[in-house]
Amino acid sequence: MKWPWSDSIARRIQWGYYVLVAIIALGFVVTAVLLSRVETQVHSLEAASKLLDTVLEIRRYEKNWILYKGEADFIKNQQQLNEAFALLDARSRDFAAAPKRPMPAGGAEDMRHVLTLYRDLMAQEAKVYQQENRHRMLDAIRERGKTMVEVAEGLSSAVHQSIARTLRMVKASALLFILGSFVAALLLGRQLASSAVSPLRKIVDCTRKIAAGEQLLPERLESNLDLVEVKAVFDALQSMMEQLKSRERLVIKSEKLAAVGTLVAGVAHELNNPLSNAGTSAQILLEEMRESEEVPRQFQIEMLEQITGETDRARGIVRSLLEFAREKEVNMAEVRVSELIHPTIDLVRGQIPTNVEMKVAVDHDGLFMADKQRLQQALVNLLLNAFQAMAGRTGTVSLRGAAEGEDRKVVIEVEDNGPGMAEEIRKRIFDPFFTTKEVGQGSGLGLSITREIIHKHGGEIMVNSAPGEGTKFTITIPLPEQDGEEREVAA
Amino acid sequence: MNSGVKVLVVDDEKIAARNLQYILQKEGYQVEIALSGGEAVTMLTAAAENDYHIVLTDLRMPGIDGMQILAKARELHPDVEVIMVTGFATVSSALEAVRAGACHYVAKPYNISEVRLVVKDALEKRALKRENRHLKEKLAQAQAPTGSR
Repeated sequence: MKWPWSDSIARRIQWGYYVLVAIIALGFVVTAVLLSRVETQVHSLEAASKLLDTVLEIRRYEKNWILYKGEADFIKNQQQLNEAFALLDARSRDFAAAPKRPMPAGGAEDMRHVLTLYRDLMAQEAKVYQQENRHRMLDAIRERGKTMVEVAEGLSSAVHQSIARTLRMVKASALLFILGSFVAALLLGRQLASSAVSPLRKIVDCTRKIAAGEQLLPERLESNLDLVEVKAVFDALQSMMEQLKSRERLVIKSEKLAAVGTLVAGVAHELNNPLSNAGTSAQILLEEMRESEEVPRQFQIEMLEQITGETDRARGIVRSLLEFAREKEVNMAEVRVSELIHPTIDLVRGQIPTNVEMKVAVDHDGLFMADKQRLQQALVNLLLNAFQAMAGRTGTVSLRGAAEGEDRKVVIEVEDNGPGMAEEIRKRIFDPFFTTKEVGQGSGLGLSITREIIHKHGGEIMVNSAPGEGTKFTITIPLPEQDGEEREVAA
Repeated sequence: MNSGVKVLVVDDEKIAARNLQYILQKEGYQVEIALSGGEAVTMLTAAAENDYHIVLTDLRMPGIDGMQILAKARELHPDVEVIMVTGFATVSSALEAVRAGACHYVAKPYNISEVRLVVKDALEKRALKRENRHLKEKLAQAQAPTGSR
């Protein structure tokens, strides 16, 4: 069902509400109009019964005058007559409001007419009576008087009837409106249920299905997509699903990596023993040959040395594979920047090339949370890379550390003025197994391990480098925000 | 000079055990090998007290492992020095072994001269400990009559 005037559930409910309120308001207005009519009619009734009373009085004095011939009765009769006219004039509005129909004896105008005829007749009779001292037109007077009473009674009963009719109308309209609003509420409720609630139910169904792991079928909601709310929810669901999918892909990827890691660790570990045995055997044989009485054959010794050297290399690869794959839990403790930087230099001192000048600086010393050993390992990796990058040139490698209290971070820089690197290399240097060294010279894991360690510290590592401009690694590790604040407060 | 020194090498890999045996025999030690933890325990139990001077054992072995051999050796041969041989991934457990009383650890793959050095070192340590104890006993003996006087 199409709702041409509305494209939103809220609007539809609003409209339904308006329609109901309009029906109820109309009911009230009609009832009020009818009641005000009743009020007017009650006034008319009051006037009509007063008129009837007056007419009856007129007749009573008329009879008394005819019976007892007292002039006072005639005067009373005339007074009452005048009063009747006065009533007709004064309450003309009430009588006008009184229904003219059905009124066999006529309305207010008929009454005036009948009263005038009666007054004229009484005036004639009074003249005759004065002259002849007897009554002559008694029958006509009685006839006129009767008509007068009938008209007054008719007026009164007409008003009565019309009041009763109006009251019936009030009753009927009230009943009609109650029925009407009931039917309207029923219809609107149904309509709202189909046009507002059912799309919502569909959404609920969809979310339930998604929760159960089913894929969302877009066509299922398409019929309700003209509703803004449904569309919004649907869009949100769609983007949620997409997000979920991409997260799922990431999870799968990281699970794969973890599985590869476990595999690598297992293989590396298993390789270690045979490698070790082979190496030891070669060493023993080499020793034997050197100590042998016979003149050793240079070729054999060379070959054995190669075996030893190659097993050493394999050992290095196995070690870095194990390092890469191991679950790297960090043990955080408070460390001073200087306590990190200076011992790191001691670790690599033996490997600083003779033509390279090593510069060390700690600009602002300060405490931060770190796994000292692992962070040192990261720095050693960077320093060894820098030394290798110098490749026999003369130059400097510098290691700088600073706790920047204002920015709430520790910054460590490892910089060399070596040959630098091209962008395509720079982009890939943190990838596992990426190496620029000759095949077999490096595992390609050093920088990826370094980055892993920095990430475990909640930090970032960035590299700036261009050919001919040297290379600068910048490590940023945030200081724990709240701890610092608490400490400041405590201080 | 080293001919009187008895060394027990424990490794579940025969080649590894034989290599160690060879390396140490060249130094003149009397080297026996056990190819499992169980075999090692049997040998340790069968020997007279302090018969073995040095035990070199692999840390990770199926069944009875290096740590259990360490405990057994120290129980049966109080003067024995135990050296743990271990792979990369078990360096931390090797450190644990040192804490538990092993005198050294050797990480695989090792350099043969490194192994010889470690064993020599362990022997010196053992000798020093024994001498120390001997001197203490002598001192106690010398002091005992003085004390009773």
